[in-house]
Amino acid sequence: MRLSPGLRKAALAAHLALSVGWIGAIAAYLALDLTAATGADPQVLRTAYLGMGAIAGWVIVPLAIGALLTGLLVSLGTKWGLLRHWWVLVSLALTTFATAVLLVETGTIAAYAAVAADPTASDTELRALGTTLVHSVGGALVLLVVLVLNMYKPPGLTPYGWRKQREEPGALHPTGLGPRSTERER
Amino acid sequence: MAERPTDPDPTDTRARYPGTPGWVKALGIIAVVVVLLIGFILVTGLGGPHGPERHGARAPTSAVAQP
Repeated sequence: MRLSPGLRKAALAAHLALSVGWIGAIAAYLALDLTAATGADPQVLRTAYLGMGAIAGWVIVPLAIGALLTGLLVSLGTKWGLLRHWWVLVSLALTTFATAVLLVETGTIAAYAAVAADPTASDTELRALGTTLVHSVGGALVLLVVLVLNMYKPPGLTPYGWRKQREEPGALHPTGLGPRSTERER
Repeated sequence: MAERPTDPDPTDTRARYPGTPGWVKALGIIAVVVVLLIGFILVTGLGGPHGPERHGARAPTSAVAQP
């Protein structure tokens, strides 16, 4: 399946917007997570946890799923393919892993937000809630690695990509260092 | 002076896969170390309970984080 140039650019624009938006949303979430980790005032904690719940559920999760789906579309719809180049394959693995951890962690965040939304929750209960800093910092680092991979596109074909390249002589650069004709595709 | 080797010919049936790039191996090693570290922390309980119950949080009752 190959996308037309117009569709490819539209898919790539969507993928960039969703991916960069995901990182930005995590930055906003991190600010609230840090506030929850260091704050002691019940009102501040309540606000921080409610904000974390809203950002995670309404912004980060949709952006993550959208980035994953548009990434699949851009890969499969161009000559880069999904399994041919190590940088694409590693990006897919890291993005899938980050999305899976996020979906699991959303349950924890929702539980914290539920306590914060409960007007009968005591100050002690609010202060006893934890943070998700390990997951949010880890997620941000993973996404930055994916960002760097997508910007630099380090060379290297997978064994599958190498085999496919040999089946399609002239389609790709013969050194296994990446396609010449598709450099401008992403 | 030795002649510089030319690029492998993709039509040459003797051509071999050039191998996994070093950066992939490095990332793989880092991933294995991180997974082992997480496994160690979970098994030993150093990180405390995992999930919403780790700080006594109740089950979600609000739709705040449910899109």
